[in-house]
Amino acid sequence: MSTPELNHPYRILAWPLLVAPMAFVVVFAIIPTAVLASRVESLDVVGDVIANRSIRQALWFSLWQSVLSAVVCLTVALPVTWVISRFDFPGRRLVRSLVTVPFLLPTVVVGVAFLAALPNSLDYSPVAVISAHAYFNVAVVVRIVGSRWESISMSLVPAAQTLGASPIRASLTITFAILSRTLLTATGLVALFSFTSFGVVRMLGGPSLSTIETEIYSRAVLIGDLDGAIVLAILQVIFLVILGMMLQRGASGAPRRTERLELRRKPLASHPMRVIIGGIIAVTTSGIIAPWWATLSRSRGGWGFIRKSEFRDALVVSLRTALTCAIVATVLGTCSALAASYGGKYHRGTAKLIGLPLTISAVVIGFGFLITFDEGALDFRSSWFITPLAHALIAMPLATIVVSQGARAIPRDVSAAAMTLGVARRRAWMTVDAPLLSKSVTSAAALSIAVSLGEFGASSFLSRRDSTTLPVLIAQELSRPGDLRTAHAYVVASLFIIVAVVVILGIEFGQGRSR
Amino acid sequence: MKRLFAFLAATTLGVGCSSSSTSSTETTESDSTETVTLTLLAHDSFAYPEGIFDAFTAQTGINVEVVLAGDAGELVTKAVLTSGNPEGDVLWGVDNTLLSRALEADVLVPYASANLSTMSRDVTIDIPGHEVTPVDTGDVCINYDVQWFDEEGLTPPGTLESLTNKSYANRIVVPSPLTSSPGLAFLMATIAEFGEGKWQEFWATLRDNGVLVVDGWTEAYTVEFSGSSGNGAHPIVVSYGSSPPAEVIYANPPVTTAPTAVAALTCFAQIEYAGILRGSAHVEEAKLLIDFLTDVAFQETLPLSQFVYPANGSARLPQEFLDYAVKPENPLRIAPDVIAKNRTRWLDEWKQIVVNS
Repeated sequence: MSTPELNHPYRILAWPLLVAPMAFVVVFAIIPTAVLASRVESLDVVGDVIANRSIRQALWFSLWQSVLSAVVCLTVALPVTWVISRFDFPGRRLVRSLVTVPFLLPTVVVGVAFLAALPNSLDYSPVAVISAHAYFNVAVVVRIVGSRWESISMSLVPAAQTLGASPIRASLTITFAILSRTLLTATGLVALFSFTSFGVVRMLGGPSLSTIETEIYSRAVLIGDLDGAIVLAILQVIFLVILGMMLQRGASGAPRRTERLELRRKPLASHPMRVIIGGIIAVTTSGIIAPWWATLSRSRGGWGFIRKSEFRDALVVSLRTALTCAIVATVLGTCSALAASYGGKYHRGTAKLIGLPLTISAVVIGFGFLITFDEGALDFRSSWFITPLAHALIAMPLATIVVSQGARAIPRDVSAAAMTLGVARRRAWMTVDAPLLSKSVTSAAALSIAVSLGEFGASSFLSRRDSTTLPVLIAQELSRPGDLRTAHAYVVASLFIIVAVVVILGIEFGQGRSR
Repeated sequence: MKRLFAFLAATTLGVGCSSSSTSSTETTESDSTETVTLTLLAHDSFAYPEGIFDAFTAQTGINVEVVLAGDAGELVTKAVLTSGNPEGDVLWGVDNTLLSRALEADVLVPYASANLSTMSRDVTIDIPGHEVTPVDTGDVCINYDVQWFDEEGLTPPGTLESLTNKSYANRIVVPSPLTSSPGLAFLMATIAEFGEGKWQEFWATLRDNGVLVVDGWTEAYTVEFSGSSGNGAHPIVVSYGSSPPAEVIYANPPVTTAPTAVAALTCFAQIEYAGILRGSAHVEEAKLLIDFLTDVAFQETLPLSQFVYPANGSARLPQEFLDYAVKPENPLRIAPDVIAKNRTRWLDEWKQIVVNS
């Protein structure tokens, strides 16, 4: 930093705020991984793993498909993100809700729908894998880039124009400069999700395409080479952490705070603009909705299933899990986001550890929990709350990012000014910061609910006592023969989509009319 | 300000506290009071009629709680990982292709149930040490779409050898043995049929004949197979000997004849076992549960809840099974210790022939 950073008025809170989220990561991600790693008896395995040809192939495929998935996802998602975050029009929040839904669809459902929708020649190809990854992650771009884009002042572009820049050049340069850091975050996340993707690769990639994640699974579970699987999982963590640090380095130097409070979205005025925006909305939403129709049409004849206790139990479990996960992830995510925002570089550096669970294989989390929380009072490896805690590990980093975007947009000088004027620190926080944060905290909660509802990786590796979630129920029904069973799976999937839309809409519109 | 963070901290800790307190009360309850609760650790396909364990509780005063631990492979992996300090008392669902892994890791307490006397020798032969007890059997077989073969005027496949027939080119879909347990069983079937040194050639021919290999049974049967819900392009698929009755019972809309059939000479025998996990605090009670699981009453629920055959020879089969299922006389078999010795090598060779070429 060229200019010395002023201490934030709430800096003193930064370390205390970090305690709970750090404890969570240490207890539920680092310790289980370490306990599992301590099972590896001989380090010779490391050499075997590195020398293995199919592992090298898996690494290469993981890498290029994840980069390509992120690029395709950005290409698809940026136009609609622009529309949603820069313009006011009727149905804006509806569109934003709809594009969020794919993120919470279970991989089994999207997998089967994609297999049905894609031409046969593309089944079990990288194209199928990449397009499904892009489909899933549109919401990540819309939510993360969108909340930043919204906060860019509308007056910046005209200001640049008065300084002689052409309108297009002014928007592109300014927008890109301000968004670059957020874009990199979103790209990194999509690439990370695609790199560690499990269900999609197994279903749509077929047996010839494997990623590190699927290699870990087949080693641990099918071949019975647990040592190899653990070593591979740890190598994956190291690799992704290094990659993440390189990305961070690339992102630094971008401006951090530029915003002012004012009206940020403009109404749709000109006719050509309406056509362009209408087109973007139509294309994106129809692409998003198409697999839903496929799902609904396959549910025919199976609707009696919703009266069965199996279904009702799973519904209750899913909702309970999602709410628990959202509370844990949002509270912890808000703590770490505020710590990073109030604190200096050491706090921010520490807060980055929050992202670590995203690099850990679901297989490792599942098996790590199993042999870590297995003694006396801590023996809760098959309790119901183990599932929401595992979900919270994945949701918390996302919640942190979303709240951070919001916290960044809070002008610190306003609270500082208020305090100089004699307003008590707490009151200043309540009047200035809290209202500005509430929106991103609600978004973070919505995203956490979404992650939990659709999560299938870790939940399928945890042992379940009365904790079959809806995605697991879908997989169960699909894994048994008979048309009616398959229809049951699609009934659950359809309801899943409907519930998801309702929940997301509820959150979106429950925030009050002011925004 | 401080109060807010005190609140945030309290909520966070509160989640942790309430969680650990629930679990500790659970533990003390099961340890100190008279009622024992047994945990039955099962794979995801384990299904049972509601209230079936009430009779067991009424007879013995023991409660049963079912915990699902993933597919059969995950179940065994978890049992091996937690060897000596298991997640449950009784394990349900390790099969003959995975048995060796559980035996090598010494995770089971031997027990010879009186119900073994009702079982045929084929079912009990692989476990002379009684580390596990057979609970059900099934067969992984080639299934085909009856209507498709009628319409095309082609003869459906009868043997594994016939799958290399040119008229079935691009018409066969199988789940990968690397990622699916019926896929693994089918590979075993081909090894049992053609023998070491010959099965590789069969798979190379099958590959050249355009066999489609997919990740799991779900994609193979419900998406790519033409005879079930997916209306895919492949009339020949690897599934179970009991898939045709499932197609009738779960038909949508209802039907009176099975739309699919089984090639009986292609079947590989799968036997599922239950066992008592070493480290269980309730071994004596667990033995009673093994008896209950192999008694006629429970065994007769298996066909319609899990689409498998009872291991207990005295259990009667439902009419749909008698009408539509295929129970081959002499299914293909490989002994668990032979599978254990060769599985990794077989899978590597298969991968080189079918996937990497």
